[in-house]
Amino acid sequence: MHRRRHSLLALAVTAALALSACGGSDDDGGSGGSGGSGSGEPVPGGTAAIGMVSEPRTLDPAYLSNNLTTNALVGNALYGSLVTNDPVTGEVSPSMAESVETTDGGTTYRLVLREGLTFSDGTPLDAAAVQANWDRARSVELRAPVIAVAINITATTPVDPRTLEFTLRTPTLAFDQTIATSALNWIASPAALAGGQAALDAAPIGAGPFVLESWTRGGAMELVRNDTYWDAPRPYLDGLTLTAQNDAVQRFNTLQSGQVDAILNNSPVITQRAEDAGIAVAVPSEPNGGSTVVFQTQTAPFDDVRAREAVYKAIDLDVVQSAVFNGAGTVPRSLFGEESPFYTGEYLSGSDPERAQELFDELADEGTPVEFTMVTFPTTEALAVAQSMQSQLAAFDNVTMEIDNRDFAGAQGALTGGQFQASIAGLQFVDPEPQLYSGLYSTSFLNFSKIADPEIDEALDAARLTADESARTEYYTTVEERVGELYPFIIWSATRENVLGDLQGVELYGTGSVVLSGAWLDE
Amino acid sequence: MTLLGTLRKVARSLLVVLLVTFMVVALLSLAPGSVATIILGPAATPESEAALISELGLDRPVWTQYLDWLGNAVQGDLGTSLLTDLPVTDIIAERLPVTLELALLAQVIALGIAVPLAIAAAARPGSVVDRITSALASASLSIPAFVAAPILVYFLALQLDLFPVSGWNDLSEGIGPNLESALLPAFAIALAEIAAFQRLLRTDLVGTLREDYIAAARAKGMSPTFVMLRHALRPSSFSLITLLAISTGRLLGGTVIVETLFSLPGLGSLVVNSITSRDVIVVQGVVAFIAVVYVALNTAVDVGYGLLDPRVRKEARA
Repeated sequence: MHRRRHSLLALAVTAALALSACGGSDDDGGSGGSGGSGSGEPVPGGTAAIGMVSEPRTLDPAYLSNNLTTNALVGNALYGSLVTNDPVTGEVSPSMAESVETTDGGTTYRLVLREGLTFSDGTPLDAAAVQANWDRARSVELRAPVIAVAINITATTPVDPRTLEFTLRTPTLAFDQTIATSALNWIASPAALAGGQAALDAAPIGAGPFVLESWTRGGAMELVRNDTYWDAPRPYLDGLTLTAQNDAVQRFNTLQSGQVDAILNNSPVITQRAEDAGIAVAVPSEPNGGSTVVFQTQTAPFDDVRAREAVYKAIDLDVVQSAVFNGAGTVPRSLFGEESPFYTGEYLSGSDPERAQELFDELADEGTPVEFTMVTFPTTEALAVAQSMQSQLAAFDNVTMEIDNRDFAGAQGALTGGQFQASIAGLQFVDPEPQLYSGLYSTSFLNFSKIADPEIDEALDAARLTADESARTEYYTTVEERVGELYPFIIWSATRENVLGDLQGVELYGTGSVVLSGAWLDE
Repeated sequence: MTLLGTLRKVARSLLVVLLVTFMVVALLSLAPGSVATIILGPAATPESEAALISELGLDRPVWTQYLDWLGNAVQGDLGTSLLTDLPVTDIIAERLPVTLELALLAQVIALGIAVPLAIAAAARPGSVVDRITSALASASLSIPAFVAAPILVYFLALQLDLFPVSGWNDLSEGIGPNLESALLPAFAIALAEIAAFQRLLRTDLVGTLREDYIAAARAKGMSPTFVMLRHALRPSSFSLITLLAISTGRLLGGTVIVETLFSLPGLGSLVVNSITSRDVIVVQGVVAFIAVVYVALNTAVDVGYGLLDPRVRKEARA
C-alpha cells in the first residue's frame, strides 16, 4: 500500500513511552502471544500493509532492537527467531533453536538448532553461522547495541553442525531469556554480513518467513514470502509492505483510512480510540516496568537520596497520566505487573506532598535547594510528562525544575553519557533477566541512574543463579524494596503495546516482539 | 548582464554555498549528542562513543573536517552517510524526485489558481472580486502548512476518502497512484504560494494597465481580454518569475513540514532526520546541493528577463 517516511526513533524514548507484549500462546511458531480475532483457518495469500513506529537505520541484526517500537517486527520477519518467550509468564519456547540448556548451572550452555535450517539463499544455518553472528555481536570493535548483553558471552564453540556450546562471563540461569529478548535471537548469513552495511541493507539474507524485495528509505519496505521457510505452511501472507510513522495519531489515521491493514501501537490514547471505533486490538501487552523518569544518582542534586525522594513524593502520577494519556494509562504500583509472580505492590509509595515539602525545606536549609533540569526526548508524550511534573513542582517551595527538550541524538547522548540530572527513560521487561539486571546493576551499561547499591547487586546476582521461583521472588522483592528506598527513578506509566487492525494470527513474544509468520488476511 | 557582472555573481554565489555548508558543520558540532550516540544505541559508554567518534574522524577540528569534505565535494563526491554507509549523491538522487515533483506540482497548482485570480482582480481594482480575492489571499497566506496539512488530511483524506492520509507512490507505480499521493501535500504547500503569487501579479498588472501603451492598445479597439493577456500580462510577470524561481529553490529544501506530516521520502525529511541523528555528511551534501540549485535558478531568472523583455536585452548590449 502506501508509504511513509523515515525517522530514526529512539530506543530510549520509544521504549520509555510505550512497549508491548501480549496474550496467549501459540503453536510451533513458538511465539508467545497470539492475536487477531482469527475466526477459522488461516487464509493463504495477500500482502499486508503494516504501519510501524520507526524505520530501522540498518538491517544488520546486531543493530536492530528487539521490541515493538524499534523494529523487532523487521528482525523477526527477515531472520526468524532462535527462541521466543511468553510475554506474560516468560516461559521460553523453541523456534529455530530446539533447545538452549546449561550444562553446569549457568556458565556453559548448549544451543541446539533444528535440523535442516537454511538461509533464504540456500546456505545452511548451522552452529557455525550462529557462532559467527554472536562473535561479531560481542566484538568491541563492532560496538553494536547488542553488546550490552552479548558481552557476557566469553567463548563459542560449534560441537557439531547443529550444536553451539558457549560460555558466560557471569553465570546466568536464564540466558535463554536474554536470547529471546535481544538481537542475539536473529541470525544472518555470515557471508551477507561480511559484505558490509550497504550490501546487507540491499540484500539481507536470513532464515525468516520473509525476504526483502525492496527498501525505499523513508518510504516503504517490501518483503515477499520466503518459500524455503522452515515452518511450512507458514508464512501465510505472500508479502508485507512496511511503512513507518513516528506520530501515533498519524499512524492511526492510516489505519482508519484503510491505507494499511494494521499498525503497531504504543499509545494508550490510541488504544482507547481504536476500541471506541470498534477496531480489533490484537496481542495487547503490558510488560513489567514501564516508562520512567530517571534520576542521575552520581550528580547533584540527586546524589542525595532525599532530593530524589522529595521529587518522587511531590509528583501525583495520576495527574501526570491525565495530562499525557487523558487517563487512559496506568500508574504501576510495583516494578512488576500484577500478573507477575514477583508482584508485591508494597514498596513503591505514592505521592506525599507534606513529606516532599519537608525534604525540600530541609535541603534548602542546608544550602542545597533542589534545582534541576529534566532532559526530554522529542515526543509529545515526553514533553507532556515533563511539563506536568514541572507544573506540580511549582506548587512547592525550594524546588526548581527546568525542561531541556532535545532531539533524539541530544537526549540519547545525555542519557547514555550520564550527562543529565533527570531524564525521560524506560525500563520494560518480561522476565527480570536480563533487563531488570541491566537497568539496576551497578556496573551495567544500561543502568542510567548509575545507582550503585550492594544490596541490589547482591540480590540480582543471587537471582541469576537460582531456578527456584520462591528464592527468585525473595531476591526480586529485595530489589524492589531497595528501589522503594533509593528512588533511582519514577515509573510514571505502565507500558501498553498492541497491534491494531484486521490482521489475523499476529503473534508476539518478549516486550513487544511482533511475529507475522502466522499472520493472514481475512479477505 | 556583462561577463564581469556574471563572474561577480558566480563568485558571490560560490561564497554563499561555502558559507552555508561551513555553517552546517559548525552548528552541528555545537549541538549536543553525536552520530556515535545513534550508532551505538543505548549501550553506548563514554569510552565506546569516544572511540567511534575518533574512528569517524569527528574529533578533528571543524575546519579540517570541512576542508576534507570540500576537497571531495568539488570533485563531485559528497561523501558517504555515517549512518547508512550509502553515498550521499545516491541518497539525494533517490530523494530528489519526490521533493522536485512536490515543489513543481505545488507551483503549477499555485500558478493555475493565482494567475486567473490576479487577472480577475486587476481587471477591476477595488471591485468586489478584487476585495474577495485579496481577502482570500491574506487568509491563505496566514495559514501555515502545519495547520493546513492536518485540516486537509482530516477533510479530504479521512472524511471524504479522496486522498491517502500519508505516504508516497512513485511514478513507476503509475501516474494515477502517484498523483493521488502527491496532490494533497502539493496543495498544502501551494496554499501560501497562491496568495503570494496572486498579490504580486495583481499589483504589477494594475500598474501595467495604467501605462500609455495599454491606453493606446485599447484606443485601437483591442478587446480587454486581448489587452490583458497579450500586452499587460507578460511585462507584469517579471516579479512573479523572480518569486517563482526563488520559491522553487526555497521549496527544494523547504517542504520539510509537509514531507514530515505526510510521511514523504523527500529531501526535507532527509535533512530533518539527518540533523536529528547528526549525520553531518548527509546534511552538508543536501545543503550544498540545494544551495547550488538555488543559485542556478536565480541565474536562470536573470537570463529569463532578457527573453521576456527586449528592453533588458538592449540594456545588456549597451
